[in-house]
Amino acid sequence: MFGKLLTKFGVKSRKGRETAYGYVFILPWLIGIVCFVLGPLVFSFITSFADYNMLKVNFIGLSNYKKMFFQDQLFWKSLGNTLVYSLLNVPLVTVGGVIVAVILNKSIWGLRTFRTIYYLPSIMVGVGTYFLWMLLLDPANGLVNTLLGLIGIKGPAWLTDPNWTKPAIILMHLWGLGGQMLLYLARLQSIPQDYYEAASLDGAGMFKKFTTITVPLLSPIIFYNLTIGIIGAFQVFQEGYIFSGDGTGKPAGSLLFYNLHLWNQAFKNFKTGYANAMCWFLFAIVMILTVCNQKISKKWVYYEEGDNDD
Amino acid sequence: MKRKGLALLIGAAMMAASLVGCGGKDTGADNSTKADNTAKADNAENVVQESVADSGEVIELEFWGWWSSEARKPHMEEMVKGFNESQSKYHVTYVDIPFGDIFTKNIAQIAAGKPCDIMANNMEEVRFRADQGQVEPLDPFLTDDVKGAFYEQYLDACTGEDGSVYALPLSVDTRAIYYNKAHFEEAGINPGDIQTWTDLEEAAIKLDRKNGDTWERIGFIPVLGNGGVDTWVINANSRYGWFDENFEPKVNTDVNKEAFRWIRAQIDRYGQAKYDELSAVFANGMQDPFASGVMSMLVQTSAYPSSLKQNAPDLDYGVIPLPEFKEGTGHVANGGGFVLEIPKGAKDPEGSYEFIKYVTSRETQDFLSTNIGDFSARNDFDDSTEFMSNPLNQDLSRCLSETSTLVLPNEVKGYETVINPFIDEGTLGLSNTDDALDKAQKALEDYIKNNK
Repeated sequence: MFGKLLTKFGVKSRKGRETAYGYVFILPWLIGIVCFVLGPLVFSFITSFADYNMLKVNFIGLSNYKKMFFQDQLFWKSLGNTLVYSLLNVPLVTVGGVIVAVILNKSIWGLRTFRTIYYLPSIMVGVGTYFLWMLLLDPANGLVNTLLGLIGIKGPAWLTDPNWTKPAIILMHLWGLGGQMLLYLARLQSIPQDYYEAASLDGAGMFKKFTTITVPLLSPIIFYNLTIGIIGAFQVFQEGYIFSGDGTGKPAGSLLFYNLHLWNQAFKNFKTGYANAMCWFLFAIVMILTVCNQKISKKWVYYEEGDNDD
Repeated sequence: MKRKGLALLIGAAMMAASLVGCGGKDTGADNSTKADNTAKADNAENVVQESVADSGEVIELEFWGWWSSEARKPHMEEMVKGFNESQSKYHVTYVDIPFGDIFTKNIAQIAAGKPCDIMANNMEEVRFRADQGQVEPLDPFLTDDVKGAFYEQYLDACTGEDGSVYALPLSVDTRAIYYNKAHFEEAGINPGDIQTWTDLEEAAIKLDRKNGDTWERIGFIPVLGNGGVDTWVINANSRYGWFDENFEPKVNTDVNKEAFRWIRAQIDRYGQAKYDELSAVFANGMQDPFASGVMSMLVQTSAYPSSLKQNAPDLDYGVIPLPEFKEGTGHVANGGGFVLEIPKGAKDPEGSYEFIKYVTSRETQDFLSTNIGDFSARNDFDDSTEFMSNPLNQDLSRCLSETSTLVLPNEVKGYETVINPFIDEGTLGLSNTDDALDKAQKALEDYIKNNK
C-alpha cells in the first residue's frame, strides 16, 4: 500500500524506497526537533533584534547587541564570572576524572565498592544536593571546615566570601566527577597490558607510563569530555540561582553568572528580546571555543585507528 | 503469528507511553523549570482550561496561587468554597502551582492568550505589570467603598502609572524587631525604652555575653534575619531608601553613609567571622539563632510568628517597631505584600472582580488573618476581632501604618542587581562603607542612564 504511494510519487528504485522508509522512521524525531527546537531557535534569533516582552514585538535592529556590549555593566561582570568559573572548573574536573579513573583501574580489594561510591554522586541531581552542600559548606559547623580544621586549616566562609563562592561550586562538581570517570574506566579496561609491560622493560617509571601510554590512549575521551565540559561550564545557572537565594548572584555579585543574568533579564525584567541576544552571543562564544578545541585537538588527540587527519 | 501479536502489543505500549509523555508538560531548555528552589517541583499540576459556559449556566473561573502547605491550602480552599456558596453565577477553582514556576507560567499563559482568571502576585510590581500590559484594570467594576477600605499606601501601590487600579491587596507584611523577653528581663531592659538607633545599640551591648573569645549571646546585628542595609536606609530616610522623591539615585548621601557606618560598627563589635558564620546559618535555614536563644533581638517580617510557633513554641518573645534613626524620623519599616489581579485576556473580568471583592472583604480578610496569620491591608480592623485580640498582632499591625511600600518607577527595575554587589562589599568588610556607597551611586547612575 505504501509502496503504491511511493510509486505514485515517482520513487521507483529500491534505493529510493529505502531512503523514503528511512525518513518515515525518523519522522517523529524530525517533527519534534522542528517544532520544539528549531522553531523556538529561529524565533529567539528573530526576537533578539526586537524589544520583546513576551506579549508584543517591536523590531529595533541591533540595539540589543549594542546595549549588551556598551551599556550593560552587569553583562561584562557576568561574563567575567562565567569565564573564571570555566577556567577553574574544566581543567580540574578533567584532570580529576582521569586520575580517579586510573586509580580505580588497579585491582585492589573492594574495587567495585569504591567505583560505586565514586559514581553515586553523579546520579544525585537536583535541588536537594545544593541544600545538602549549603550545610556541608557552613563555615562554623559544616563538615568541610570541620575536616579542614582537623588538619589545622581554618576553612573560609565558603558561601559568604565572594572569593570562595566559585571554588565552593567547583568543589561540588569535583564531588560529582564519577560520571566522567566511568567513560575513562571503560577505555582503560581495553588498553592492552602489553604496552605497560613493554614500557617497564624499557625502564619507564609510573609517571612516564602514564603520560606516554595512558593519556594518549585516553585522549579521544578526554577531548570529548573537554568539549562537553566547556559547553556545560559556560551554561552554569542552577548553582548561582540557588546559592544566592534571590537570584542577584550575591555575595557581592560573585555568583552572577552569564545565564543567571540572562534569566533575570528574561523573566524578572521581561526584557526577553535582550535576553535572546545574550543567548546568541553565548552560542557564538561556545561555538568558537568548540571549533578552536577541535582544531587544537589534532595536535594532541591520538586516534588508534590512525585517522586523525581530517 | 505470535511475533506479529507481540509486535502489535509493543507498538501499542509505545504509543500509550509517548501519549502520556506528551501530556501538557513544558518542553525546551527552560531554565526556569530547572531552577526550582522549592524542591516541590513534582507538584506542578497540569492546568486544565475550562471553557466558558453559555450565559445562564455557571461560569467556571480559575484562581492561581502557590499555597500548597497543610497550614495554608485548606484555608484557601475553604475561602473559595465560601465564595462559590455565596452566589450561583460563578464557580471558582483554586489551582496551586509552586512558587518558583507560577510567575513564568502566568506570563506564558497570558502570551498564549489563555490566562487564568484570578492571579495572586506580588504588590511591588503591579505597576510594572500594568505597564507591560499583563493585567486588566479593575476600574470598570471598582466602587468607592471598596477602594476606601485599604490603607492609602497599599492602594497606591496597586495603581498603575495611568491612574487605574490594577489589583487589590490580599495580604501585607511589615518588619519589626523581635526580642527575647527572658533576656530583656535578665538584663533589666524595658522594651518601651528603645526608641532610637542609639537606644537599640545600648540595649544590644547590655545583652551581649562573651565567654573569653567566643560569643555566647549576640545582642543584635542589624542586617541578619529579614532586614538588609536597605531596611535601615529606608528607616533613616523616613520613606525612600536609595532614591529621593523624584526617584533620582541618592545612594551616597550623608544620611546613608552615617547609617551604613552604624551598621558596620554593629557588625564589627562581633567580628566579621561571627557575622559570616551567622549569615550562613540564616541562609541554609536549618537553625534559627533567635529561636534557640543565641540572639536576643532580630529583625523579621510580620510572618515570623507562624514559623516561631512551629520551631520554638515555648519561646517567650515580643515585638518592638524599628527604632527611629534620630528622634522624629519615624519608626519606618519596609514591607510589601501580595495582591489579587486579573491577567490580561481573562475571559470574564467582571466575574474575576467579584471573586477579588469577596476575598478582600472584611469577613474574608478576618478569616484569612485568623487562620493563616497574614496581615490585611484593610484599615477597618479594630481590636474586636479574634486575630487582633492577640497583643502581638496588635503591635505588628501598629507597625503597618508606618510601613513604606515603595513602588519604584519601571525605568529603574532591576536596580538591586546593580547596587547590591557594592553594598555587599561594605557588609562583608571588603571595602570601606563610604566607598561602597560611592561606587554604588555611580553604578546606579550609569544604569539609569543606559536604561532610558
